[in-house]
Amino acid sequence: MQQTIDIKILNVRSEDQTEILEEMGNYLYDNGYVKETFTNAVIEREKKYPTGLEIPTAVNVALPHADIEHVNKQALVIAAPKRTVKFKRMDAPDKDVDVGIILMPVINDPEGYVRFLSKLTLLIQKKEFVELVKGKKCSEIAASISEQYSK
Amino acid sequence: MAKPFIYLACGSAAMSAMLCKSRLEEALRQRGIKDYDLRICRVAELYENVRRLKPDVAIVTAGSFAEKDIECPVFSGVPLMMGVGVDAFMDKIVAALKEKGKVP
Repeated sequence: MQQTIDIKILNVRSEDQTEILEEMGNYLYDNGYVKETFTNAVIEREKKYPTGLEIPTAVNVALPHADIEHVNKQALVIAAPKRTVKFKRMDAPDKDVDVGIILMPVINDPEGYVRFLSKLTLLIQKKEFVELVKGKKCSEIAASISEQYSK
Repeated sequence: MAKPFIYLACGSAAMSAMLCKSRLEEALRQRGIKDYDLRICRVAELYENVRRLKPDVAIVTAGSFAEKDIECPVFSGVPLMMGVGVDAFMDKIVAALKEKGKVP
């Protein structure tokens, strides 16, 4: 059975990559989604295996995440900082990409999450996704993803 | 003809490798490649797995891999992850498998 995946769009104040990841991680910890070790695991993983992606059709994104043992309940946290933030590129870790939207997948069941993620990767390439994030339209994002599920 | 043997590697074998696996299975099916061995591991394990098990190709979605001296052709899995440019990506994979005599 498909676990429900909560979607939250977070206001972040920081402008620095690590501080933003901390803000997002703290939200997840405070709300019981992750274990105390999660935030640090995300930050360390991002240094080792960066997740910045160039999205030529919309806004560049990053998908920072951690191993499943740090997660209690699945979620997706989205943040659009006031200014773009530099991340290293997933496919070229020595290169920077200016990221406008950070998506933090919180996964403890990769098999169950994969369909959600697969739809999400298509959604983030559409211009309307940027508007949905800016307008904090979580339910529309969820609907758009689940609508694509049934197709 | 022995079946194609493909390794998929990502940082934690949780997110991107799973995502790539489902798209790769679909893409292989579309190319008429039905019988294959597809395995997932962490990038940190890839060098050793390739050395020991000798897959035909490896697809990697995390970290820098070009300089790691991996003993098989290595491709970036980002097209599979994003679902963009999958056809061009599959052309390269199929060509590499052909070179190994694993697809007609």
